[in-house]
This record gives sequence, C-alpha cells and structure tokens, in this order.
Amino acid sequence: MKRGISLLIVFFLLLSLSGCSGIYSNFRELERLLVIQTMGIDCAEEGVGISLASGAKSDGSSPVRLFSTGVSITSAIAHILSYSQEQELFLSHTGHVVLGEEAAQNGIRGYLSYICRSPNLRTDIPLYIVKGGTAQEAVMQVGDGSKGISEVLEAVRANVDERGDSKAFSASDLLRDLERNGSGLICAIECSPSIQEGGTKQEGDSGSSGTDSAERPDIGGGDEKQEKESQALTAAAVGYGVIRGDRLCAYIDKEQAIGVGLLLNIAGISDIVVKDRYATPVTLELDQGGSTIKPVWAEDGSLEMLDIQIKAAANIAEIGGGGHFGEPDYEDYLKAQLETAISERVSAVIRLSKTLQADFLGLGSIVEMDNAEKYRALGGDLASLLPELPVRISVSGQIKHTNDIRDEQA
Amino acid sequence: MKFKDSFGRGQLIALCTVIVLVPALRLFPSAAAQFAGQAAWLSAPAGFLPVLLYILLLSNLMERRMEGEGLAELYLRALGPFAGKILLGLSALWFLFYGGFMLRSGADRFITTIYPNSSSPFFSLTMGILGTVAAMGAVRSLARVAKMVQPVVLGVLLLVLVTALFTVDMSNLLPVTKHDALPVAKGGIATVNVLTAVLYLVCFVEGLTPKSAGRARSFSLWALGISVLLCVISFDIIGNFSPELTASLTQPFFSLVRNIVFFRTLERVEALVGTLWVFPDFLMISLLLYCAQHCIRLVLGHSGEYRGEKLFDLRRGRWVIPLCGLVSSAASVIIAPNAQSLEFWSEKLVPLINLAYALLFIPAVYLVGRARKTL
Repeated sequence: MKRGISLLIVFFLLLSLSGCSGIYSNFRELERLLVIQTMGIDCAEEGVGISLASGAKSDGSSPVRLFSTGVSITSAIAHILSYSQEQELFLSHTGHVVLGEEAAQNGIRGYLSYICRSPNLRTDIPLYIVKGGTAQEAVMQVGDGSKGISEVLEAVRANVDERGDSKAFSASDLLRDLERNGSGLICAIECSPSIQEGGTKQEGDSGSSGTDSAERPDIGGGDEKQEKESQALTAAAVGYGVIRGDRLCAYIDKEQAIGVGLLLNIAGISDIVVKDRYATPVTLELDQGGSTIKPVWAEDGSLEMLDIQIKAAANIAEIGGGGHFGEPDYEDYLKAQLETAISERVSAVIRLSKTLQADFLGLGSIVEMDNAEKYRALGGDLASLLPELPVRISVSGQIKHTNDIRDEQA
Repeated sequence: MKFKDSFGRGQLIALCTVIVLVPALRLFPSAAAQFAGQAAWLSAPAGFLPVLLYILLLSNLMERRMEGEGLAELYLRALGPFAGKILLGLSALWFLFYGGFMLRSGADRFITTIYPNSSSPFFSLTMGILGTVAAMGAVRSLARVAKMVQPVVLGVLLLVLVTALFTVDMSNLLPVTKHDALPVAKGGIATVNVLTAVLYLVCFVEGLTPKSAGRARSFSLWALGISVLLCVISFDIIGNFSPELTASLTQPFFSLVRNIVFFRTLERVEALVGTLWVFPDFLMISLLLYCAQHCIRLVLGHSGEYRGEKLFDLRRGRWVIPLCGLVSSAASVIIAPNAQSLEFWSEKLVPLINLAYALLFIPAVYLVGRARKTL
C-alpha cells in the first residue's frame, strides 16, 4: 500500500517537474514573452505615457517598440498589452528607465515609488532623463534597423562609467538622496542624429505596434529636416539633471559634469582641452582624480566654511604643434592650465548648488560624517545654509605622462 | 513496538536556527531602521544582552525539569493543575493565533516577492495542511528536517549577504554617535522579539531531548551567532538601500535579492531564494501547531507527545491536532485582510503579545513555582 502511494506521488511529481503547462500553472513559453528592456515614462494629457522597448532580436530584426497612455503606469501597460499583438509583456528584465523632461519637471516621486513597489522591477534600475525631449522619442525612435534604445543605453552606461562625465544613478539612489538631502542627480541623455555610417532608419522602424503617435522633433527646416528624418537617432549622455524636491530644476552640462565626477569621487577618463603658452591646443586626458571635502567649524560650533581639495592627474593625449617640454616652465604652465580648467568646472557645480539651494552632491552627508553632533545642531539641513556658506576650492594638478613620443626639447 | 520521539540538542538548535529566519527577515531590519536610522545595523548586537539574560532564566527553569518534561509540563507543576491548565489554554490560543499570523505573513511574502496578484488563502491553507500533517507526527522529524535544510538555507543566505557586501555604501551606515544609543536600544527590541519567541517555543519540545549540562552555554552561543547574522543582514540591507528606503520596504531582504546579479550573468533569483523560505515557514508552523495541540491535550488530561500513532489515528485526544490546524488556517484567512492591517499585526500587535508572553508570563511562572517550592 505504502509503495503504491509512494509511486503515485513520484508519478505526479514527475509530471509537475516536467514543464507540462497543464499541471504547472505558472509555466510560460519563452517564445510568447516579449522581454522588455527599456521603459520610458512621460506625462500625458490622460495621465502617464508609457513607452516600452525590447532588446534587439537575434535574427537582426529591429526591437519591438510600444507606446500608450493611461491614467497610471499600470493602466498604460495594460493598454499596451491589449492593443499590441503580444501575448505577454515580461517586465522583470527591464534594465533602463527613461524619463521625459516634462514628466521630470512635474514630479518624479510617483514614478520612483512605482519602481520600488513593483514586484517586476529592480530598485537599482538606472534612470535617465531626456534633455529637451520625451521618453517616447527616445524609446520609439532611437536606434537603427538592428539596434534599439536598450542597446544604445547599455553603451551609454558603459561609456559614462568609464569616462566619469555622468553616472546612471539608480531609482533607489535617487530616492535615498531625495529623502536625505532633498535633491539628487539623474543621468541626462540627448537624442540626436547618429553619425554612424549606415545608421539610417528602416521603413516602419519606429512604433512597430501599439498606438505610437510620436512625431520626430523639429530639428531643422526643409531638406535638412527630411535628411535628418531619414537618419537614425542615437542617445548620448550630456551630463546630469538636477532633481530638487521631486522635480527637475536644472541641468549640469557635460563639461561641468567632470566637476561632479571629481566631487563625488567617480571621475573616470575624460578629456580636457587647454592651451599651452604658445596658444596651441593641448588635449589632456584626465585619468585620476578625486576630492577631499572638509568642513571647517567655528569655535561656537557653527559651520564656517567648506574646504574642497581636488587632486587630478592627466596624461597628454594630443598637442597641436608639438610640445616644448625642454622649456623650464612649459610643464608648469600646462599644469596650471589643468588646475584652472578643473577649478572652473568644480566652481560652476558648487555655484549651481548654492544658487538652487540644492545639496545634490550630498555635502550634508560629508559634513555629518565629519562631526555628526555639530551637524545635527545645525538642523541637519545643509541645503538652506549653502547660499551663504563660503567654499574654498584648491586644485592640485599633475601631468603624469606624455605617452609614447619624445617631445621636442628646447 | 513502542515508539520514542526523541532527539539531541544539536537538532534542537538546528530547529531554532531555521525557524528564527521567519520572524528575523520579517522584522529585520525595517523595524530597527525606523527607530535608529543609519545606526540600525547595530540593533541586533544591542538586543543580545537582554536575550542572554533571558536564556539564563529559561535555562534555570529548564534545568528544573524532570526527564520527559517540557515547558508545558513545568507550567502544570509550577502553578498547579487549575492555574496551570488555564495558562496552557492561553498558551495554546496564542500559538494558534501566532500560527495563523505566520501562515498569513508567509503567504504575503510569496505574493509580494514571487506571485503578485495571487490569493493569500491558497498559500496559507496549503501550508496549514502541511503543518497539520507534520504536527501529527514526531517532532524529531521536524528536527531532522531542520538539520538537513539548515546548511542549504544558511548557505544561500550567506551567498546573498557576501554578494551584497560589494555594493554597500558606507554613507548609509555611518556616522554613528552616542546620540544613537537610545534609538539603537529601541531597535534592539526587534532582536529580543525575534529570539525570545524561538527560545521559549523550543522549550515546549525540549522534554523530548535528554537532560544534559551546558544548556545556557549552547543557547548563548547560538544567540550570539544569530545576533551576528542579524547584524550582517541589517548591514547589507541598510548599506545597499539606505535607512530611509529600508524603513519603507516591506520585504527589504527579498528586494535586495532581486537586485543581486551574480557574475554579470545570473540575476532575478528572488523566486529561488524566496521559495527556500518555505522550509523555515513549514517548520515554524508545524512547531507552533505541535505546541498548541500539546498544551490542549495536557489540559484535556492526555499526554501530548507522539507515540508512533498512524496519521489518521485520532485516539488519545489526537483529534485536537487537525482542529488546531483548522483554527490556525481559519485565523490566517480572517486576520489582516489587507497589507495595511498585516503591517499593524506584524509590527505592533504580534510583537507586543509575544514580548508579554516571553517576558511576563514565563518569568511569572518561574517566580510562582519557586515561591510554591514546586520548581
């Protein structure tokens, strides 16, 4: 009897483990899933506009792109599913979330809350904001016949990680910064025509299904417009968007973003072009850099000043007319130029932080780390003190290497 | 052939280790993060000292047991048959209610992490049936299951914790100042809550283990290990998410698992990890049902332990066991119809009753027993 029951149990176990969809109710055919890799969020008249894009397919055909609107993200996704030819949208592997500029200006906390609440999305999903555009434009139009926004954003992310002129902060990073500092940064991207040869759009490449009503932005007139319409769009990192409260309030451009990288100690390999004493352009490749931020406390416990010390080392990547390293002051001059260039970038970022009264650099946390008790006595809000707070910036630059060429000696 | 349900202290401690993971990941570290912010990761060690004192009290109490006696039998001896049976009845009610809550919160974890839009009664009733079947058998089977699944569950937990260490942001964990002492101590209440529940529960089945010296030492070392584990769990979760986000997440550990990517290739393993928590859930529910039926059968004048009866043998008051399963399963369906009320039960009501039971009832029994010279 016991043996019979055991055999029966084993038989049913074998059936349930074999992948038979009739028994295992949660079974889903991989071929029937549309794996979404990028989600775009815009504000729409109805509420929210959602754009979804899959990754490029292995057969070389273009990614599936879908768009719809709804009163909420969930209803927009449901609408997409109803009016597309897809059986199931699989959102668990969404790797990028793109926000439209207008949506970010109207407030992003609801979107962040959705990401953290959703059982499908990861909280460390990187966020991007489309500078001067919509997420719909980015998701539906970026890419050519074989690549879509998902592949382009993968490249953007790898690029900014290496260069350090932006960073794809995640939803949980941003939520933490908004809770703690009242403001935060988000990687800004720009949609512009691709310069890649052969990067032309294929017929019907945008909005393969759904209710796509996106129109290409007016980026030129007449023939130029037509020419660009036939050209594929790409997305490139262009610095950061600054979120204060929960709204987009400013941008930090790509040049100044190097300053952010140095202040946050996430600087990568980025280029700075300076001029030598003969007004020849010299391209310096910044390959190491970081900052030490020290609060200076007054005797009465108030915060007197922030002392920011930047250290940066660069290699010479290119000199317009050949170097003059034999001259005694030539290298010092270049070093001074490097320090000035960095100082300008860092100062611009600090100035923006003071003007906006937004501690998007997390200076409050640094001050708190230095002396938590004094910081708490200040009220724990550095942003309100920022406009009046003196900041001293000192930069120490170093030219490390001239690479594999013997420069002209005097 | 006469069946004797017995097992060793090692298996008992393995049972403690596996079942402690159920309340641990429910309460830690969200509860501590709400009180102590960045310093919340220190709440686990902060709760260790009171737990140590509690272990000494329980060990002193359990050393006074005679062979075959568990905490339930000690209640009867300490308080006498009348008051003892009233306390046993109240204990059984608490265990059934706690079991119902465990079924409900386990189901909610499944819904939140793996099966969104599912119905919680399906999960809680299934687990209720499994727990009832297990409670009708020997406790030593539960202890053996615990011993077997312990390395798997702890191994997966450690793998997750080590992987998550690489993405910890220290600014989420520091600074810690002397002003954090009180909030950390307040956060330590969660540690006390988690550990005391397990410590007194296993006392009800301790009668099935042979009496031996070194009980306090063994359980103190166990509590130390669990405190360190809870500290690392808090460190990882708060270090990754920040105290602000941790406090607002209902299942921060499983959100952490959702974010983990192994070697840039393997990701979204939360379903696998979440499913492993079926074992701690199962053992916890089974133990609670066993303790509840044991108390009720003692009240009814039967001996509560398993003597090798067949599954459907309902003699010697064994009819109580399916009834207990039914009550707990029904409680799981009735209590906390939505997530908001579950939060209230999870963070307020259940911890409060648990602390009252652990820190008022049991010490009171000890004192009364000592005063009456029955212990």
